[in-house]
Amino acid sequence: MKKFLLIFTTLFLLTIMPFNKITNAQDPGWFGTRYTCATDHCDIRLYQNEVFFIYWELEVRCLNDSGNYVRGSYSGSGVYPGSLCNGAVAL
Amino acid sequence: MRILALFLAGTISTVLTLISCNTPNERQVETYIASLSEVDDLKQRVNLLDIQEPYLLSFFSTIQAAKGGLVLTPATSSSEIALLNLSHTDQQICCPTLSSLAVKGRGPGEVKGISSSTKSIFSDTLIFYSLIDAKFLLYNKNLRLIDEWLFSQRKLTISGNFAYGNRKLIIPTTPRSNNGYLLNIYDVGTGKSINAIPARVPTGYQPAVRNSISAIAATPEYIVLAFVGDREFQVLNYAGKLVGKIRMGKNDPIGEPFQIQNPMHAPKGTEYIPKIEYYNRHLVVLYNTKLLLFEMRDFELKKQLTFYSGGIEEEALKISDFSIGDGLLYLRSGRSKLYKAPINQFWKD
Repeated sequence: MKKFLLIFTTLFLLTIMPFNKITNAQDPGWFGTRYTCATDHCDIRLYQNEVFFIYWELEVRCLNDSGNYVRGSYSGSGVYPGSLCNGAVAL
Repeated sequence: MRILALFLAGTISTVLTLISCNTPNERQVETYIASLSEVDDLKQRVNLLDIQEPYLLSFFSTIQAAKGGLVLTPATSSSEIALLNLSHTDQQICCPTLSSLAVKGRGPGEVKGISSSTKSIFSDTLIFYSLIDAKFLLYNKNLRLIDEWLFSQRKLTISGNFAYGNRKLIIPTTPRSNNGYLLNIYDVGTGKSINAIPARVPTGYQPAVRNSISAIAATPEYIVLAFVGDREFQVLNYAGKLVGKIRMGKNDPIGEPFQIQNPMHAPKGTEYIPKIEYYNRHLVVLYNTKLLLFEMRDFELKKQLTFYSGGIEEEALKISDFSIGDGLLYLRSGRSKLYKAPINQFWKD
């Protein structure tokens, strides 16, 4: 039983070790799922970090009447609140 | 003993003098003013590409022109096509159609969707990136698939635009994801990377959008990029050191960092420079819907171009994207209007 626990613990530690690496540029430790949405004048992208749902980042790029892009950058901790193209885009 | 003391004093004073001489030079970043009022505004007529099918283009992924044609990224995820191609030969006839360059899928040459794209310095390779697949598709100038790169998202994540030059991927990052830095220069050959440009606004503070890079390009010697809200572009070397700024106007003020309760109340920012391309020893900068041509040697502003689809007495086109390839300039206005014009005339003195 002890032997089994030892092997199990070792395997478990080896499995989770990569998630505990210190964040740096080569290995950002940041991976998530991209969600996209497009309206007439905007493209919306959401990056949801899905390792323990630590945080989310939302990028919005819209065209204004002058022909310039207007950018919105939003982020927060936890799970992204709301649905992507509903309420999130106030540009 | 006295000699030793004199020697030490001399050495210390020499070192201090050297430091005092070097520090200001190292810190000093030259800012050049590109005065648009001193350069002729050339009015150019361009032709609308009368494509015979409905299409909507992505605002995030820019158009890319090469010898083999123009490559477009569809805006919506509903289509089965990840990349569209408009060949130059099709444009010789009336009413060209779009063909599929890459379809969605999991196989070789397939992705679930393209999130951003760029060209190599001399436009001989087009690079398209899928964030979902963490995969790059590389095409040669004739638009033949020549390679695929796979990086785990833990190794490399590109959430917005990027550039490629000298075997390096130049990737804008967020301070949250990159230890407070805004740029990552990743060497594809060695796997090593350099962080550059400390965050302009600290993580968790506003206006966070002013940390976003709106345009980025690679040249043989330099990396060139512009931030949201800035009317200037910055010039860095490949070691990530800022070496100069070229300013067309006053940047929007960033102000003191502040915090907000609701992320949706975060301030927005205007992208005055949404695209930069290196072409024919020039830097072509899309600025406020005009194209500015800078000679690369000394970053001198040579020309500015305003575009019209009808007569020049009409309102100028609102250009939000462009790309140059095989002697043609392509322009995009809105989601679905594409224009083209020959470019040789632009480089004439």
